[in-house]
Amino acid sequence: MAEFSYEILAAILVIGFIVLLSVEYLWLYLLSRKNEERELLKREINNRIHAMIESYLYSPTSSSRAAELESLIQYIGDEAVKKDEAAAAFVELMHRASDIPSKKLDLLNVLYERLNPVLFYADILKKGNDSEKSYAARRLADFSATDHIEDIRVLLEDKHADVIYNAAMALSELGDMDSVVVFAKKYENNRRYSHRVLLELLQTFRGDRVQLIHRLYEECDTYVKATAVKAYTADHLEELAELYIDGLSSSEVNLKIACVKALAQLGNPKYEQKMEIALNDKNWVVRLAAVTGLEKIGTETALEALVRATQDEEWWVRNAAAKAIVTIDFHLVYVEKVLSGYDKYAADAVKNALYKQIKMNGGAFQ
Amino acid sequence: MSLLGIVRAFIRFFNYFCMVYTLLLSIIYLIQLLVALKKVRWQEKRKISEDYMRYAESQNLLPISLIVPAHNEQENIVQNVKDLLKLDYPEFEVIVVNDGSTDNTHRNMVEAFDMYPIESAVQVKIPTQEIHNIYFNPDYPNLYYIDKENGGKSDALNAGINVSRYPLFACLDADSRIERDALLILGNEFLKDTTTVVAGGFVRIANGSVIEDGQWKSFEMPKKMVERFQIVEYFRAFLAGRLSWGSALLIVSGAFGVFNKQVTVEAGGYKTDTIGEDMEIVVRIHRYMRTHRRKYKIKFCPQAICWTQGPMSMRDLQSQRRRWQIGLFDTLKSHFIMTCNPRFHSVGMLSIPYSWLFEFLGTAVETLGYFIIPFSLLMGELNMYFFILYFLLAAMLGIMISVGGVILEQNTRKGCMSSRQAMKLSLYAIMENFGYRQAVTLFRFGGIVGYRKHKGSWGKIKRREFNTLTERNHS
Repeated sequence: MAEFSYEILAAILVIGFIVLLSVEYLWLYLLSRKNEERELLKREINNRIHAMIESYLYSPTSSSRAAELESLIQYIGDEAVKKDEAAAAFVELMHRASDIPSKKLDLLNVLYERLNPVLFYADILKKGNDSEKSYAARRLADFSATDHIEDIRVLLEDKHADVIYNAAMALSELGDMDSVVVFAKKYENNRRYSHRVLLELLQTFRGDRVQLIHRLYEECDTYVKATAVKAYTADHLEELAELYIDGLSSSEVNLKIACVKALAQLGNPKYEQKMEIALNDKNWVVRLAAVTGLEKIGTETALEALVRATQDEEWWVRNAAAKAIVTIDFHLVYVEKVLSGYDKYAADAVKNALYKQIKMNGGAFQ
Repeated sequence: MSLLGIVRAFIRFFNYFCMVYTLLLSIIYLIQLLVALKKVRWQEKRKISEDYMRYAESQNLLPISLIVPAHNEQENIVQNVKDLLKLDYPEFEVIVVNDGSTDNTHRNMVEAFDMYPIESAVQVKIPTQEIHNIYFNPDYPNLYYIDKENGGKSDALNAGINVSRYPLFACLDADSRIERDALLILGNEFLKDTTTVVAGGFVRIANGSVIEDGQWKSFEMPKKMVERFQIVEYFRAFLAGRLSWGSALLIVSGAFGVFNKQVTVEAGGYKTDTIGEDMEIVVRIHRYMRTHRRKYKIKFCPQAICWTQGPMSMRDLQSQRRRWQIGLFDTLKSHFIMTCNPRFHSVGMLSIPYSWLFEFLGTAVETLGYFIIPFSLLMGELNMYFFILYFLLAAMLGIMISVGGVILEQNTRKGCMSSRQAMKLSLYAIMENFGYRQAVTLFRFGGIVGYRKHKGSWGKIKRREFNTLTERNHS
């Protein structure tokens, strides 16, 4: 009896497994076929759309151009994959708009009107799943679809972090200041993202940056303020100088450092005194930033302050000051001053900077 | 009870234990596979809106130091470094650490990149063997080459950490290639989630694939069976095995992982007297972070791909698997205190006990089973039908899991095979259960037996240069 039941059980198991395995194999077959076909189709669509756009742009006569455009629109039809591919090709072309002759740009405008990618992505924004909505928001931003700011704003209330992130990035690209401030305020309470994401968001912003930073200064905490200052340091916004000077007296070290660096980047001699004050700060990173600022200013008095900085207790500050002196003191007056001074550490820093510069220039001092 | 009776009772017990154990393990694998499948699908869906490529030109990604430890890597090192220098990433440096190679690794590096020694201060955060020289060439401003005394792979990685300038570092194998966007994908994990301390990529077998300039071009079935089996095995182990563990993951491949430098240094860096440094460092980070009650995440990203050459002979495979088993044992032994310790949450209560029970002991149980089960059949201690039933069940489950691995790979958008190749490969998923799997188990068991003897060696395996399209067309 026992042996009999084993046999039956074995048979059932074997049959069961064979069925399961067959299903698994069928799944694998269908999946791999689908993948293969999808890849081929994607490649074909990509090549064809690029070729058709090229033919349209470079057709010799207006009638042949119109025919090319018609066949492109017909080829795309209502297929989402093709519409997306065409939109991507269009964005790619617009990225190198500066290399395209103005006549061709007019043709691209006609193409844009016929493709109407904004309508396509706006539809996805309404009907798609989370990822598709996020993607559509970014694409709408690529097409500067400011009419859809309200629709994208709704996504800021979504429960998925990814959707919120993409919506904020899109809105920033569209120059929607209110939404950027909303996201920054949300960020204050939830530091899931690195501050670099906030930097990216602010650097993506296409609206009035000066106004944005003022609003962030009014409404956000010092961490966000410092990030905002960092984000726009490279822009050399002279209008923000007063704000930076305010930041120098902040008790928050990060904000102070960001403001010194931003002010330093302006390289304006009228802020030299502020830099000299910062050179006496108790935080060495602030002092280091002040050295960079003085190097940029490069006046006689700045050089004197830099000489003092070569006596700093912190190695980084000493060496940065020495490097700055070697770089800007063409007559070597201040270099000699430090070398003949009583401070051995300052002299060592200058010697090191000189040695490095000579070595970098292949044995010559420049 | 007589001695024979005791032996019989033991054999009977062992047989049943072995069967329950195998079935339990197969069921765990099956669950892992299903979890991984769900995760892969979710990640692929999420990828539509992933904007990592938008960061390709941005200065806001955290800069990364790529550390490439090299010991007798004369065949691949120069090409690998050239590929690394072409990676899509805004700011990174490549640090090649020659760990006392006895072949032409040093000469090849210095000549190929025209490097010369520079004077550079090294902040010794982790003690290492002596660094002879640091080489540099201003024409390659983000390439550094360190020539140091032999101290093992961990020591070379520690030296690289000491020399590195950036807050993140990636450990890479000198004989592997990472895809051009892989670093962007992993770098993004640190950007989008500040609690990420380690992010690992998907290591795929390069045998049969053509990889040029850090990009996969085409795939043909490798010639040797041993290489084909490994492809199936890697899909199963790297996709199902790693995806399913989530943040309780115990290993990030030594071939490609990105680490938070500060946390790694605080945790003490790589342990030098082990050959399983990739697993040890991850477990050490778990231990450090949990002990200090810090929030952290360890991530595995199947979209970030690293290509590695699998062993091309059974002898090399034996050496590799032995090394892995020794590394596993070493790590589990070193961090024994974490086992079943609720203080370490899912790592202490799940991952580590699982590794002890199934990854380490499993090898011994399976090996003993190969001998004791046939022996007990001969002794009449085992019902033949029952044995056949068990064998069929185990084999079928094994096949289902292996085919599942191939299905899993096809679910990733970076599936690199045609349907024909996928189907062909799935046949090896069946065949691997009859010979290959047993051989691998025996090799791993050899690691336990020869633990003392082989502990501490790099365990070099034979490599060849990566395939290029031109080479393939010629051949």
